[in-house]
Amino acid sequence: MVAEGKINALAILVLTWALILYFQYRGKQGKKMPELRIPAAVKVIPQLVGRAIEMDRPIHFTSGTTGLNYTFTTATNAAGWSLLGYVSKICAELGGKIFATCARPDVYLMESEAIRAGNVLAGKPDYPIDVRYISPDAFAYQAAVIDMLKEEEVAVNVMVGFFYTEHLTIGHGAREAGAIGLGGTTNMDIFGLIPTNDYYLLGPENYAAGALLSGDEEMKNSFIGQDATIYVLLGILIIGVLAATAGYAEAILDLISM
Amino acid sequence: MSLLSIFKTRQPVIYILAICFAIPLIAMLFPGIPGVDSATSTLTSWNTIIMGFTFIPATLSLIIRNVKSVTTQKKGWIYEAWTLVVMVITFGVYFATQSITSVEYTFLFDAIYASSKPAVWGIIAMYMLIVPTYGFRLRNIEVAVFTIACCLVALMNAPIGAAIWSGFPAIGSWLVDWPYRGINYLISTLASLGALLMALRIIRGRERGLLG
Repeated sequence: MVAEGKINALAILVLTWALILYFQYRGKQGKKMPELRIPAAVKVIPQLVGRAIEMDRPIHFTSGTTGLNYTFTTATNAAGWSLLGYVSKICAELGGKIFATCARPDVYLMESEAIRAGNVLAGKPDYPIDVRYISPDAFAYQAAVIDMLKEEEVAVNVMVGFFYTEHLTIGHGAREAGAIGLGGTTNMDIFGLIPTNDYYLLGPENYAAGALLSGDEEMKNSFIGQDATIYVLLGILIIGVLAATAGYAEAILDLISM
Repeated sequence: MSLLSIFKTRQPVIYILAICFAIPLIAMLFPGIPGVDSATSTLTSWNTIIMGFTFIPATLSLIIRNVKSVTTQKKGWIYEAWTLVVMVITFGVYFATQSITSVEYTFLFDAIYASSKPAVWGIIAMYMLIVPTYGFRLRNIEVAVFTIACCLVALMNAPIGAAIWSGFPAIGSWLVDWPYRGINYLISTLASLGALLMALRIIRGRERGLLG
């Protein structure tokens, strides 16, 4: 009934969702829940917005030059847009300026909606939405954004999404403009974000950032469920390694390729 | 204008979106269910159509912003004016020739777009070369380990590394094959779980940052 080779994927999907829903239910019951570590990059976001407002300089957001074209780019970019929504909520509440740039027309609409969602959450639905569609060409986009960062003397540069090379150029451009950098991605390009940004989000912290900023208890409990899944998978990993070392490698491979 | 403002509440739209997302997932996990494969293919076609329509608001926004810069004579307005001129010429040539393989359109592409692209790449490539220098400031133990590992991998790839000492390629290969690959898999696995969680939040309408 299940597609060949997808049983493991289905099992992990069901396990993840079951654990998330369980911990959300447990949280609603008021039972004791494990403490969640808030990443430093998430804790500092309100201070960064405050800094930008004090200096009367805008905040810039980009999620790179990819968009909704591939699954792996969509997920990471969606995390960035979610963070954009919460950052723009804080901006609207405090009266700051934020503008987002994009290289794809579908991203233009997503970023517009994210900023609009943030304005609605802040209770200011008419707050300005500034999203700038530049060019689908990566180099033209990077050149235009670097110019904008310097021209408008951006105070904070937020780069959360899927990047190819633009995080290096835009990150350095932001540094030259004197902006504080906050970067995040879920692939190995994080190593390019770390040198150019003062704060960074690693891997799953990108997905958590927006939700942690919201302060929603139910969403925080869902992250505990996610962490529980990670522990289960780590346990399976250790058992697999020990079994493979003991000579059951073939059986393990057959099991994981079900 | 919000795309969803025609609905009084967002919940019905979120349920419709959840069904649209669930259909390809079911098609992937449970093949052979009648109607699901054709529904997936229909959804994919509609996705392409919607993506095509997104060009309209984005391009209009680009034109409006550039026209505003030109009319208010903002600093550097001449570049926005040139952007508008090139857009008009490109649209004009396409509508006149009705073909992207015509001599005129191909000349435009080769003379303006294709020749300026490597020029811009050459200019901004300097930024990419400067970035690694940030990593060379050994301000704490983690950055120091990172920088030393980068140097070892660089020596693996450069012929001079093997010339200096035969151990550099071996150490670099080990770093790439074991720690890097292992951490890559770990980050990918964790990121995938995070994406699953995000998908659940969006489907349930709890992702306020995106959905409002």
